[in-house]
Amino acid sequence: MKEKAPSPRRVLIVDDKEPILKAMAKYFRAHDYIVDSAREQEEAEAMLTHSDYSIVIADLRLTGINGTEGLNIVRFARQRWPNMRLILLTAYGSPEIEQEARCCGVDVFLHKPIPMGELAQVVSELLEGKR
Amino acid sequence: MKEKLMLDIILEPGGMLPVYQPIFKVAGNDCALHAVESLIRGPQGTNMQSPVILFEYVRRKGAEKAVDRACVRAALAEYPRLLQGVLLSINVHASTLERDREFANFLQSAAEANSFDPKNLIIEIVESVSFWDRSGFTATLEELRSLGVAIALDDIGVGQSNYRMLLESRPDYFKVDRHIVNGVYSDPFRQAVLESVLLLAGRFNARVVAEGVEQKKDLDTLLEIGIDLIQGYLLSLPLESARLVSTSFAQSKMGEGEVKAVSVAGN
Repeated sequence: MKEKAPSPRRVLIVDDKEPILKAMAKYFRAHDYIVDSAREQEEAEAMLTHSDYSIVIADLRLTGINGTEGLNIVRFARQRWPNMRLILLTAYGSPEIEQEARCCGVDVFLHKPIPMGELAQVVSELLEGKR
Repeated sequence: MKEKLMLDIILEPGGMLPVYQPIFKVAGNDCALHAVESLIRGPQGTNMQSPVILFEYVRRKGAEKAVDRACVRAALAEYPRLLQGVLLSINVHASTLERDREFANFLQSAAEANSFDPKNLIIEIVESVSFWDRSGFTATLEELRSLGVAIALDDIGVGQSNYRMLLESRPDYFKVDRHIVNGVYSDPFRQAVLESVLLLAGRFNARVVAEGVEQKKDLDTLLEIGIDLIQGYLLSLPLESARLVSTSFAQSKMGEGEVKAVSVAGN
């Protein structure tokens, strides 16, 4: 019997810093992920409205007025796609924000800077159901 | 330097690329160009190339008014001069017609700037969310009609294109959504819906356009029902302006048992 090919792992990366976005996209593409990227909350939400992803990696603070746009993305994604895995990254974390992120449905809250290999390990564990 | 927002990129000159999909009047094996609908694609190489993502983003930004105006400008500017006598249909959000009280004046100026007669324009109302300030909406439609612009209601049968919207907009064209059209040849319930839409349109003195026609069998059934304005991949894909220019649409014959490509490239 022919072995079933694993379904492609689709990741949406959201960060308003173009160099970071490009570096992350390049890294995950090189590791056989199908990568989409967005720089704004509204862009990410528009994409999440029409596409299912295996996982979303979003920065907490994007170009916006409240500095917690990543939380809105997590909230939106969790409502629309209950099984999607969600990672929130931030350089400005606080226990309160982390608590709020967990209430919004985030799976993993990570502090920046984080080595790419470490992030990839977390992504892999989430997709394998080890977290 | 602050990075540009996607909205800035969309609204830059050349940020939006119009493509044009013909609407044909089909009679037997004859197929004549009735109108051309302008469809917008966002900046190339971005997520916004997809119109569903583009307009979802625009809605979330609350930027329908600015983007609709930019779409109108782009559609008129790129429209081939050789087709000036052919009706051009441009999509505009109902919310823009409601809130942009200067829209009719803007449209008139934009048409003049491109030497385009407003009487050859159709404004096609689209909307995905509920809105409502009836007075602003109907006043704008009246102003458009006084310019000679026809009104079409898009996506009839789904979403916000409901009976209320029909009553408020009194369209000249009922554009029936592809979800109702696809598979009509084998579905008596779809046939019943389309027959009722045709009857309703008749009472409004309006015409019916079937969107998303992709199969010859559906086309034959639509013609049997009495719907002869047809849009869809079966007859033509959306085309870039240059391709539209090099395409002859004046009249074409459909072969027996099949639909020939209506466009003739390279003329």
